[in-house]
Amino acid sequence: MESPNSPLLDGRAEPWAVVDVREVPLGQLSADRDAKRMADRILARAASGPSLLAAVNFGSAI
Amino acid sequence: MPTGQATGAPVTVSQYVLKVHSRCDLACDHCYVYEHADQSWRVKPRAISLAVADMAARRIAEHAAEHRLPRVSVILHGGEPLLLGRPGMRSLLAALVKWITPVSGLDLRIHSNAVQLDERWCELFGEYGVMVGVSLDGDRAANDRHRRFADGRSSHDQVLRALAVLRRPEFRHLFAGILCTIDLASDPVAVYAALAAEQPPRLDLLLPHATWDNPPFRPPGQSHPYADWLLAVYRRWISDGRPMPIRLFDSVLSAARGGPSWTEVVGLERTGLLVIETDGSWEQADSLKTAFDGAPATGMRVQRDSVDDAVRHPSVLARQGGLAALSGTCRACPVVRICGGGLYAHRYSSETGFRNPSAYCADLMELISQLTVARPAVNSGQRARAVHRLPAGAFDALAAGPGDAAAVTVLGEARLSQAKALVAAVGEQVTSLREPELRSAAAEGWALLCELDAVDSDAVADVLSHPYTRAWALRCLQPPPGADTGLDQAHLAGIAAAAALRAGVATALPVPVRHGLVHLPSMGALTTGTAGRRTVCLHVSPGRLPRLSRGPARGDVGWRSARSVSGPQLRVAVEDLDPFRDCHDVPAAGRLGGRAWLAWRQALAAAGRRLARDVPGYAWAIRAGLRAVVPLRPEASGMRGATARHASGAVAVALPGDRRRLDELIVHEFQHAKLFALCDLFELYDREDTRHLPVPWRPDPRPVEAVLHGTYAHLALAQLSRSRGPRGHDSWLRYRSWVLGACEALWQTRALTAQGERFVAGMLTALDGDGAVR
Repeated sequence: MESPNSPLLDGRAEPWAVVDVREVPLGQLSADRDAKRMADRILARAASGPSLLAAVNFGSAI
Repeated sequence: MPTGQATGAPVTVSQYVLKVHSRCDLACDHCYVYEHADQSWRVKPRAISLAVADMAARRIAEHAAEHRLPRVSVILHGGEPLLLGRPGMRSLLAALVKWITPVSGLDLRIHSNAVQLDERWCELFGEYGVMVGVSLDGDRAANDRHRRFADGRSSHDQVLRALAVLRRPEFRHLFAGILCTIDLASDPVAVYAALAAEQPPRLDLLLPHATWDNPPFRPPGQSHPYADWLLAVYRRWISDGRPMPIRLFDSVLSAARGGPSWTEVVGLERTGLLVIETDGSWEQADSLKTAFDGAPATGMRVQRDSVDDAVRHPSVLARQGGLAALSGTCRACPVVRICGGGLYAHRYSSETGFRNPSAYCADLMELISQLTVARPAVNSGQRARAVHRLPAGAFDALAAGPGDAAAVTVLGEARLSQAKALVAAVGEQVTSLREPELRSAAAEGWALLCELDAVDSDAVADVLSHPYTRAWALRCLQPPPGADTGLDQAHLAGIAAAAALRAGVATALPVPVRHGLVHLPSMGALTTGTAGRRTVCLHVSPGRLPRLSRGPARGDVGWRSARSVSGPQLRVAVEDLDPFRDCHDVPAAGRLGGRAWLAWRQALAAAGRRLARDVPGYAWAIRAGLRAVVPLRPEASGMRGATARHASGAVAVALPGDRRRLDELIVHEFQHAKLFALCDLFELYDREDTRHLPVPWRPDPRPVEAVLHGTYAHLALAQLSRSRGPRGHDSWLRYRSWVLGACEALWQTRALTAQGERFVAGMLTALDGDGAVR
């Protein structure tokens, strides 16, 4: 039998999540597919999840 | 896995392979237990006795208690573990639970060939929460190549029947995944398709064990056939939309980004485990059986030797040497931080020991090159781009609470890339604004910002990094009901004016007026003194304050400077001007009056000093990553704080009546800010999971994300309380119990990804240590 090495774990990384566009001229980003994909992903998450965590009286809203 | 070498802390083990039966009902000809160099199975008892199992459990528990380990993993293994029989297995599981669960969490797994796995076995495993991993080498042709009974019969049908049982709704949660040893003679795509058809939650593809003495088979003329085989699977996996995680690929990609690896085959993680044989022998990883006869042995036994004794064995320690323990060839290799020298056993040569590259070096190099350089064309036609990566150790440093310099810096850099992408998306829309006056302001602002980016990108980056620039962009792209979208988008002109002011560039442009003010984010605001105007013309000149075309000659007449505290321990903007700061669901305070501003300055400076004294690790992280504090309207009683997902690097707090508690608010909220940023880089939990979990800090159940956030925030409060000694003892106990309870709830959901599990384990480990904080 093979060794499991370690327990089989879930490795759902998102390897291309945040592309480094800091050096890309701002004027080119509107047509940049990486930048558009990143913006779309942020917007999708913003639309689907809570956008803030308020801790009124410590943690009561977490 | 043994950990602690890097810090000099005591070595601890949280992962054990427990051999419960040393024989197998299959006779696979590629099995390293029976067919490779080590032949120790011949003298081992067939089945583990209850006495040995009981002693093993006590040793594991003893170690977990002594080192206060939050969780240990025990993997039942063989031979074939099901040969132990159900009564014996039940007694063994009961012993493990009895000894370990009072002192630590227990993650039970079994790895089986599944030939005997049926409903009754699954019911037993369900009773004890044992996750089941199954070996299957692919389609029938591939599987029958090696995985046969002694008389040559195929095991394929039995395994598929067992997998069908595991997929049933009542047992599906026990299905850990499928493990496949690859063979070049098998069609990689057919193997992948057959395995994927079994719908495993995870898939593991293993290189056949080999060493320099017994190198992997390579067809003539092929220098990296195993990489080619794996890449064929990889391409199909990508084109299928990655239906399940494949540990080898995910580990390479993660390690390439500076993240963790989940397999010993790649990465520089100090991974490892201890094996307990059926006679109670402590042994090293099973894969060493391929090196030489007796390679895994330590000469120690659970009946006599503790876990601490076993991990001090020189051979065990030698496997934890990280980069320093690798060969010179490996240390000089550009991909060493990704491959980590390959599996330890695969480095073996009888002439030079283990200080060699892997026997699979050429394959690992090719696989890594293809996966990390020639990634799938997310940007077809363009050169592959760099992605923001956490450096080695940074993820764990964040999980431990404060994070380190590298971690906080990378989070900030990633958020700048995102802010830039969002601002560009707003810029793309400006020509569609309906009001000509606002359209002109937005368009001129966008054009100026692009020009400035070319001549002084640092000035532009400073403004785009301002937390409420991102919040503004989100508002423009997803306007809330009733938003003045034209006025909002015209704020691009204010952003451009702020960048021009920072860059020392002279310009004049129309800017929007909001409640009688022109806002230059991160710099200040100018009173217009004009009612009813949507825009005014603003002049920016080097070395002077901004002024209006028709305003007072001296710009300082109506100018309100952005405020900041700049002390040795804390340097942060106090944002009481930005019009987009009020996005925390609890109302922001207005512009602070003189007395209130003095109170904030004093309170923040004092909080910075206390944090530096009590929790210097947190103080440093806050100094490095916290850009703005937004004063909230005071709460009549208690404390009030909030963090917005899209206000990167900002926290909002009300000045508490007891000023000394401001540190707690800042530390607490900044944890949320870091975790929001980290979640942009890693998937820590299943976003599709809509369950709500009970939490100790409020009466109603909360979603997984909120539980993760609350746990992380309370970890910081626990560490802060603990640093205060007897004065913080009660708080420490309370927050500690909250973190423990929440972590347990998170574990139970199984909604965490591998990174999420690692993050939670890191929080638990840090909870009772203080090294990370200091």
